[in-house]
Amino acid sequence: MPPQTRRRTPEERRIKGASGAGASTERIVNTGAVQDTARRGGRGWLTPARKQAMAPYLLMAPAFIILGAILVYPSIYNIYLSLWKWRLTTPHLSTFVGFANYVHLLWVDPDFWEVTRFSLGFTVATIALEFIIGVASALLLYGLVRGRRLMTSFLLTPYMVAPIAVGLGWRLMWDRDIGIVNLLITLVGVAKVNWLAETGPAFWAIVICEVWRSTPFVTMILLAGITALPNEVFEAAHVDGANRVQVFRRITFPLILPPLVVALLFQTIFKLRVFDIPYILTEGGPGTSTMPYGLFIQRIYFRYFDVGNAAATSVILLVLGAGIAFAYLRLIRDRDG
Amino acid sequence: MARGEEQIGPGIPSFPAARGAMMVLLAFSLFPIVWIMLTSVKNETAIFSIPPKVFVSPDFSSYWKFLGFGNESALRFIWNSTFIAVVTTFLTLLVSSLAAYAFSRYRFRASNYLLFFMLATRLLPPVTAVVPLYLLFRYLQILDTRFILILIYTALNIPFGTWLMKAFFDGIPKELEEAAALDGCGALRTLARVTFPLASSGIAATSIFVFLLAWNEFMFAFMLTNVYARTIPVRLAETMGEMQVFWQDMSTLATLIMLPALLVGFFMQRYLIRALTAGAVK
Repeated sequence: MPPQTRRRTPEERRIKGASGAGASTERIVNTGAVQDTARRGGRGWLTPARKQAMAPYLLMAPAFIILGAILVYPSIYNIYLSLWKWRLTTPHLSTFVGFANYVHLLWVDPDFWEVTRFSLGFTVATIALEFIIGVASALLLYGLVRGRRLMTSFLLTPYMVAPIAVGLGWRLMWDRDIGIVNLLITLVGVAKVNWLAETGPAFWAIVICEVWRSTPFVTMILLAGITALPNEVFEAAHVDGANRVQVFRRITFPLILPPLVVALLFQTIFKLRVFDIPYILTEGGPGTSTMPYGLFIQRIYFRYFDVGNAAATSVILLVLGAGIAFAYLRLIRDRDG
Repeated sequence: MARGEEQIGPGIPSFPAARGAMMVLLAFSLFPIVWIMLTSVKNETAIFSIPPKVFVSPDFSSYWKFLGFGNESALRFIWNSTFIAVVTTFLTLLVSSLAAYAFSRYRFRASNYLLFFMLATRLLPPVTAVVPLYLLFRYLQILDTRFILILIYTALNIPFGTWLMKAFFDGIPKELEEAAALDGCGALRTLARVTFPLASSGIAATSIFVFLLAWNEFMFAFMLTNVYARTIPVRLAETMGEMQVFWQDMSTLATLIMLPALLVGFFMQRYLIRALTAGAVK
């Protein structure tokens, strides 16, 4: 097409195309381009229909490219890496070892099972406590007539601040000599505890810190769930003579169960990833008794430079996470369908 | 309704017990934060005094040290954190609103699968990405740059951001956009002039959520930065010495990390709660 035709108005071009001056193929291309240039000024092959069909993919492309590069690609690459014996310090000596890294982790390395035990115990303990405190806080907040907004703000603060910063505050409070916790328990006649250096106390120190930090998430979800319930139900129950405990057990609890399940399953997934708080409180110690998976991977990789084992641990964690996610999706589907 | 025994609601505890429990909860929630802030203005002797002193003549020396321009200035780390959090927020908003708009407005064959796939990536434990990303960034020689942290935080927030924005776009009637198109607005102009302003509360909810996560993030920053791109949480963790803990320095840095989050959180609390509860309550 000669360049000057581009500067003509669409009407002129349509007339020219229809007059049969060019071949039939050119006419088809032209009419497409005509409509297009009439509206947006696009190129010839990009018909409005094609454009319409491509638009959503174009809009999504940046999101999927970033996700693919940062989250999906590493997950796949991990599987490959986990089949190699590869040290960062001696990359030229890397050898393909099949499932040897998994065998090592699951049957040889005692640390892996201690890490797993801590992660599961930590998950169960924190979620149980968060559930109890979360329900109580949500009911208390709901019952407030005045100042609910302000109280909500205050109760939400632990969830807004950096875990690494508040973890430090708890470290100060758990300190054997100057910690406020030991000061309080010696006041009631209990002997000082070296909270962060003994296995049992260290576990509970981390659990309490995490419960303190992330209960507000459970509280907010429950509060939103309770607020969304119709008030008439409770009034009717009250008229029928139900007391507080009965109303909660028979009416409120079953009604808030769906959002509760979602919240708790999200929490389960988050608990397996915990890193900051054990890192700042105990660095996984004493020994590896309070070490979560994240810290374990970090140590294998950055301290022992063992790429293969770190990748194998990642894959195991991935499978564990996927299993929980699958259970979660099943529950959601059962709820909706 | 009058306050008193009459109100049972969904089974809330009775009044005196409720008030007591509320006070305990309030103290439990706020004490650690207040304690960090108090410690940051105590000098070594006050910190180590037994019993602990609550009121001391404040010593702001560590604030001057970190906020000044001397050897120990933390301004560089604060700047890194701010830059990363702000750019991450913008990038996440841009990328996930575009995707959310597509999911909300276009019905096409793959749309359900793509949305499911996107949400499923949120369930991947981020720590599993550390080793491959370290190798990749080392190969590309971009370790220890702010760019990689921005990219990672954006990726971590895209699924949630898209989902949240989609919920808000779904709430905007399509007719408004059609009217704008009839009046001669192009697609992008409709988006900028009609759709985005109407979704502003969604944008606020998403951006505060993303900002807080990026500002507070420690793990990736700790493992993938060394000197140049260190953020303030990493600087804080570095003050943990092997032998001695410098409590005043640590609590000062902790306070500097917490204050912006607290300010943002208080002023935009409504949006934060909306973002937090969007996952569970529809």
